Amino acid sequence: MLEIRFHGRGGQGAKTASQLLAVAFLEAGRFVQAFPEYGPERTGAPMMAYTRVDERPIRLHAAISEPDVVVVLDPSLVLEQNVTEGLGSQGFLVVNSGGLGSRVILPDIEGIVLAVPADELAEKSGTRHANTVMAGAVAALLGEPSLEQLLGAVDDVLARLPESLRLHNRQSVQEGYTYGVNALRTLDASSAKKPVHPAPQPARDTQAAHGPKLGRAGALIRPGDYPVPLTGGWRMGKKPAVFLNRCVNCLLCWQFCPDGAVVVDGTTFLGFDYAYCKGCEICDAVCPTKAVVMIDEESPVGSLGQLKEVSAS
Amino acid sequence: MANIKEMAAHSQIDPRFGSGHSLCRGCGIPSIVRTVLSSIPGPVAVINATSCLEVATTRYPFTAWKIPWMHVAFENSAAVASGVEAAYHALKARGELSEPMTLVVFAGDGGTYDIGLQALSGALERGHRFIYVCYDNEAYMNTGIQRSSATPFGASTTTSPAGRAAMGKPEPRKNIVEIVAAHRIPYVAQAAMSHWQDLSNKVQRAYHAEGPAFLNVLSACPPGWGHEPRDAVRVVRLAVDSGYWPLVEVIEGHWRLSYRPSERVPVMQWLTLQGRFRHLFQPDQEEALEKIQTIIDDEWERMTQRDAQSASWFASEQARRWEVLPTLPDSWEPRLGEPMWEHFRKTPNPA
Ligand SMILES: Cc1ncc(C[n+]2csc(CCOP(=O)(O)OP(=O)(O)O)c2C)c(N)n1
Ligand code: SF4
Ligand code: SF4
Ligand code: SF4
Ligand SMILES: [Mg+2]
Repeated sequence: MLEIRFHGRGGQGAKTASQLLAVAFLEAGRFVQAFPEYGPERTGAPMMAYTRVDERPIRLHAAISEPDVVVVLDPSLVLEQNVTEGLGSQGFLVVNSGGLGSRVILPDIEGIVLAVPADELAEKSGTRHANTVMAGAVAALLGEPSLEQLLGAVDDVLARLPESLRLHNRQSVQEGYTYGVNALRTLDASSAKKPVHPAPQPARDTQAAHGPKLGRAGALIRPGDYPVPLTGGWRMGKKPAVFLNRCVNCLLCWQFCPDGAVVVDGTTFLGFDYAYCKGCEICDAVCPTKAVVMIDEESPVGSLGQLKEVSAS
Repeated sequence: MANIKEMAAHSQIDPRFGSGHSLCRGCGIPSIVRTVLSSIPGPVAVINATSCLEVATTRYPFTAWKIPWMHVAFENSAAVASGVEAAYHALKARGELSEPMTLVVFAGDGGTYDIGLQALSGALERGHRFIYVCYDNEAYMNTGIQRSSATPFGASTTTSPAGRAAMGKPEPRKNIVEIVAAHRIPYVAQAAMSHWQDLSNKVQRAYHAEGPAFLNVLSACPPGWGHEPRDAVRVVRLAVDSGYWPLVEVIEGHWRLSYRPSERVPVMQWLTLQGRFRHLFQPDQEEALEKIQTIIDDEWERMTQRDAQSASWFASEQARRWEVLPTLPDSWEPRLGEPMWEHFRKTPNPA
């Protein structure tokens, strides 16, 4: 059985990518499964989607905990989660290196790691979503399904989209596929011994083999038992910053920040905690003195997002 | 009265609700939860109905809660609270527990106006002591914006869609505050996330109530209402300032407006900010717009009349007991690590 796990954020189309591959594999005569796991379904929230492929009916319906292939649609997730958890030594890790790409250090795993500039390739094809690019790249790496089967799946899965959007998505699948095929040549040369197609695994058809590793459901979780998940990766290109000299310490930003990302010491405003700030801009909207400004994600700032006023004179 | 600075200090000294949850960018719920929890002195336990708040703050194995928290189901949070309250008294009677405890229920409008109403009504009638906070985002948001009986007239949701056949929800919302007040419980109030001081005062009165207390708090929902996350506070403030969402309290059966906008802004200002009302600004929808203004005007009229009728009671000695006590000495300088809320515990209950 081949098991593919997608890591994405709500709104990035990981579910669609998992379905695309499944439908294309179906076309190739395989038994397939595709389903998402959202937890709370929120735009920007980390989520996972799964594709299973086998030569015989699949009776396992649990989430995929030991994937053969891990696909990461948003590079910031590599910083937040252990995306390679359970990935076998012969596994593939395929990461979209767009956006934050240059800052992401890919995990060092035994298997094959491929970074795909999927945001760029998507843009080139006229879409905003990297998901279809990534589906194309994964198919190329695996050697199956074929490009034709994938393109057929685009028409099928995205049947409700307007024709023009579907065309863009066909284009982006193709871009991803071509990128994958080219990458494969270099991979083959440099790591000749690594099998390109995951070796067939014995079918793991029992739920027990896939039981949760995190402890029993219903267990008592005490505050502090588990790390608090970071939510800074939800931001979409802007972050808040502050000119402290303009701040009158009214704490309205603290009051209304949904994410507890306004840092206060006792009763004094200090700045922002980018590990949690989701970039909603409420602090900017409520600040009575315009001390808060929204700036580009990549702009340099002092600690806690503090800025120095450059005097006009 | 707890002001922002006291609440900020409180939430550092005694953190109760934290970061790292998966509520949407710009969600209104966290500021309500934080305001409620940092306005209550002493230990607090929370019962949470299934909702955005429940689902997004307890993604297994994580939790954003730093106090005892319990979730059972969507429909029974008031029944669960009744049981927890009974258990608390039993443990106290057996001498196994001596600490005070405030029990707070958080539930959405779906979990309160609709599916949880029976459990709520039962618990109110039995007189269990808890603070029930309904954060009202006017639809079933967690499952993707379905109409609830809190959804206002004309709003488009996935189950009351605007289109050729209909112009959003055809029915006006139901008045949960009146329904709860009909149970003759000591304290009922309506508040809004934008008016944090009013909300904090109301929580403190609810805390002092000897019996059930109920708060209905308007909470912004950017995806559900169709506005920019940054406008969350502004939208809710306009709901209050237009008179759509009167800030009221019902104390021992006496109604009053706790806040009166100096001038009510036209409801259009509130409507135009939100995608769920977008269809009302197409031609031929004047009638619906007029109806919305009429619903609001009638409601406002009713509230001002009730407010006037209760004026003498609120001037009476009996009402004085409900004035929110200054909870901290003027000279108090908050310092991290200082048990400032000890002061609360020593403050006698006015009742
Ligand atoms: C008995 C039952 N029916 C339906 C559901 C599915 N469900 C979970 S949350 C939710 C919506 C809750 O709406 P509301 O109480 O308004 O809270 P919000 O999501 O808006 O925060 C629904 C329908 C459920 N969990 N249990
Ligand atoms: S943008 Fe401002 S209000 Fe929004 S999460 Fe970040 S710090 Fe909080
Ligand atoms: S809202 Fe503005 S002025 Fe007020 S504390 Fe925040 S940064 Fe300072
Ligand atoms: S759907 Fe609305 S209520 Fe739910 S988390 Fe998002 S903003 Fe908050
Ligand atoms: Mg709701």
